[in-house]
Amino acid sequence: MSERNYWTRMRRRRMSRRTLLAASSRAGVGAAGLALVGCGDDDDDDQQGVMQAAPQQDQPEPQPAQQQQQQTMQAQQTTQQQQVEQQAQQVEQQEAQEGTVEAIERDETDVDEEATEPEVDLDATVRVAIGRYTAGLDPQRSGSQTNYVNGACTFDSGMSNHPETAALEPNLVEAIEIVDPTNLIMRVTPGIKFHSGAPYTAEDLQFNFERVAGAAAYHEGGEASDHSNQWATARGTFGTTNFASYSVQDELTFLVETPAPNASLAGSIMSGAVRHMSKAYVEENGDEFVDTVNAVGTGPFRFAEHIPDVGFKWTRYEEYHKGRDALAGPRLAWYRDLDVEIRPEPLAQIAGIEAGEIDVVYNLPTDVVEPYNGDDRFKVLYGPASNPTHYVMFNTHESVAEVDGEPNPFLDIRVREAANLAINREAIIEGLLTGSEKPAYGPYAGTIGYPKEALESRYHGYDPERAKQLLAEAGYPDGIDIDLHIVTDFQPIVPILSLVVQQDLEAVGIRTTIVEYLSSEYFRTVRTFEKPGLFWFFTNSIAEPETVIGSGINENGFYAVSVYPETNIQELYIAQNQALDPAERAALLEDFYVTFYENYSWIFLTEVSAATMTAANVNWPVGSAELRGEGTLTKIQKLRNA
Amino acid sequence: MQFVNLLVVRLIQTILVVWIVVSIVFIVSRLIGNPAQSLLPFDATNEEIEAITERLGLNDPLIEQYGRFIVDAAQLDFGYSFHRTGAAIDQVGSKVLGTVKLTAAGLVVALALGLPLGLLAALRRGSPIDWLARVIAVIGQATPSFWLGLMLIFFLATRVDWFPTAGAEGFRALVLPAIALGLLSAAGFMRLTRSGMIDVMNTDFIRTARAKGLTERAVILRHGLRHALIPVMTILGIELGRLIAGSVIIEVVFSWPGIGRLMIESIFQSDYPTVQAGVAVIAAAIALGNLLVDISYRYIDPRIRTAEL
Repeated sequence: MSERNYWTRMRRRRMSRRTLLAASSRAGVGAAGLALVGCGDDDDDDQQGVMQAAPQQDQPEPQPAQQQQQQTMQAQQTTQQQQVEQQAQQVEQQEAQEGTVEAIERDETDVDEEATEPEVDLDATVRVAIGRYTAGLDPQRSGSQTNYVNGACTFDSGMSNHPETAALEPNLVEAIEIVDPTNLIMRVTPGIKFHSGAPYTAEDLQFNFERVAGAAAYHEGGEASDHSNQWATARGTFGTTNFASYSVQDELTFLVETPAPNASLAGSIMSGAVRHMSKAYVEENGDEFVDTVNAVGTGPFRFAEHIPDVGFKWTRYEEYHKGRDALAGPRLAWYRDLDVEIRPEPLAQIAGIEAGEIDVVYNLPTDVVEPYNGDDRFKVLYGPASNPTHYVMFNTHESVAEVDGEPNPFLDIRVREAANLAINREAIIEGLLTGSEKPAYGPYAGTIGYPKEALESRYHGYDPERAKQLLAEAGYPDGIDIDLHIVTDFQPIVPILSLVVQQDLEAVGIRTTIVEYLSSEYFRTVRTFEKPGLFWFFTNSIAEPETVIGSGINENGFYAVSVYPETNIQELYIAQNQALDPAERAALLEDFYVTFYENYSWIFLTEVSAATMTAANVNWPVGSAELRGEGTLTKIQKLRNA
Repeated sequence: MQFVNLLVVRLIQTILVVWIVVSIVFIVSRLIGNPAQSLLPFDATNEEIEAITERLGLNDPLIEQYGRFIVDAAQLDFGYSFHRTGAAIDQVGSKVLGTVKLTAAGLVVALALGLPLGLLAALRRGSPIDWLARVIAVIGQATPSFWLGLMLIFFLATRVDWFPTAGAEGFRALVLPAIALGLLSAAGFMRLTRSGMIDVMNTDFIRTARAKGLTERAVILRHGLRHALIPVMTILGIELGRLIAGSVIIEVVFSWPGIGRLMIESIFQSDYPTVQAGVAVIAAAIALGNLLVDISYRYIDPRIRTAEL
């Protein structure tokens, strides 16, 4: 293989940065460290989904045996978790019977030491390290909204998603009733209280939809805000902008009229994109106070303290409206205090676990945790990254109908098919990723649920010879030269993965020049549709499909780089969004996804994983399939006597 | 009077340097993207982005933005941070102490290691101590500070629990970042002290001092070292700049709350006001540091007192 071949270099990349650090320290080779160790960049979005136990890296041949071992380990952890949950339930029952935690402690002292088994420490402090610091506490304000841990801990979303089906489950709103195609009734869950003690009512529901739309009366949509840094909404499309009219009927009932049937409305506005605040508290204290001093929500944790640039502290909200056995979303936490510490460098985060200063680090690049697989002082788990499904969009807009004076090659389906057949997804998954990822089939995260059978039976596969043939048939026997635009600071895997994609495409004759952008420039550039070529992109992991396809496939969407007027993709998109019957919508979505996939509308790449690492006495919610990290932090368990 | 005039000239030069640096940062930061995008989720609509862009005044012509910026910056008003609450200069100001503490500790490490080692190496020229000192100098200068920082964490904070792995609580938290930051400068000081001492110890006035019957200790410390320190003082200003610049990475590696970490975060968030305020403060600190070093020559070397600064 030539020097340019990625796979020969990849063997070196597969050594983690930390391994290299250790090795180079022993050998005293500073240059290796200089070349390969950088200040990591990560996305600390709290979105976590299915986590799987780490493969045992000390096995020389990691294939079937390793998988078996992985499954065994996963099963052991699941069993352990079940045991721990049972024990914790026993503890709770005991608390209920005897009335005090002290009683448990007294009992513990009586227990023979040999018989002591790990049990959940309900009074524990769990210390989490994250890389990205966002100071603001207002989950609806632009900028502050990226404080994802605060959003998930202090606040609640309207509804939660079922961990397996992604169906909407009660949270702040217990039900949405469809009166007719354009009228809905939202029923607020009774008995929910804010951390301030005030009840959550339909007035609060209305207030949050208004405020998130930038239409709250008290600050004139932000124009009259007291915030010294100004206030602008971060999620303008998730509120009353979707309503033709709305009104509070009584304390627990909110009526909404939509301009047209909108099947995706509930899934969008009830998602974690909208975190609910107390109307009375915000109006009384003002925007700056709730952003910088104190955050009051209904979430599973009360905000306790913010030390600028150092971290945040929360304590469990004992009156949280859902118990530890809740089906979906956040629940009463298994521990009392949550300390979140800001550590920008992933290796320093891991060092914190090694030194016993930190209990949990999540959303890590998978390579940095590899040396810890099989180390019984830690647990290493893999799961979908925060933007889990990656793909490459062809720019097929009229603005680039011609590329270098020739017709845009990607308007020819044979070229798009060739690009898809050029990608060796299995090699990427096995060689570059962790081995547990799946190929991408469409515009959704694999954890959300998709028409698996219909799509997997149509898998494009890897066939470079056929790809070359298709290119020749399309009139490109000498191949194509085109730009591949990528964003470098959004997910650490993108620059690496793009090299593999570049090489695979080049092997069939699609020669790409990688053009790199920072995210602040990239997303703006994508939206212009003016540059020809290929654009790297990824899904979010919100369950509602509209949040991806509305912007990325709907021909009016701001990321709809790949448009295909000659197909019925737009008709299917519109139809599914008007189908209020869930079964009918699911069938239309299946048609939509299959049509989009068979049209080779994008280069469908793969899912991408992130890693979580914990101390040995900490249980991360293995097996959780909840979306956008809803409740993940509440399910962490710290064990005594582990 | 001549000294005062020269001081004024150097101060004006310092202001010019700061102006040029922040102007470059102003232009470059406008080239690398729209901060509105970093304030919003990536799936924000075009209308939302446009609204924030307008609100931040980023739709105005660049020259208009620059004019506004320079007038305000002259009054130390760099605007409000896009991502943090309060004025950008206040954000930077709140981190000054952290960076000063780290930089000063790094300088102490550099001087405490570099000067004695250089002195010993010069006095024991060709001996194992000299050889060892030179090896340490080469390693110190060849080792990237962030790599050294990670190694220190790896060995001294996780393998043996002597120091915390991160943070800024207490004296122990300062030790590893100070070593990681100061070692490179220590190597430079060591080499300069060594070569300076070797040159000085062969001069006539040292022979005279010995002939006068002074003790060897007095000859070395009072006469030799004082002269050997002049080139060290010369690079002290440069090293100060290097230490401040190096603290940017060290603060990230050790999660140390200082201007450097603030700058890195602000760059990734396209927080122009904070980046501009931070660069202005760092540029001013380095320029003023060099000025102070220049002034201090007068007190170390009488020959310079009457010459131009």
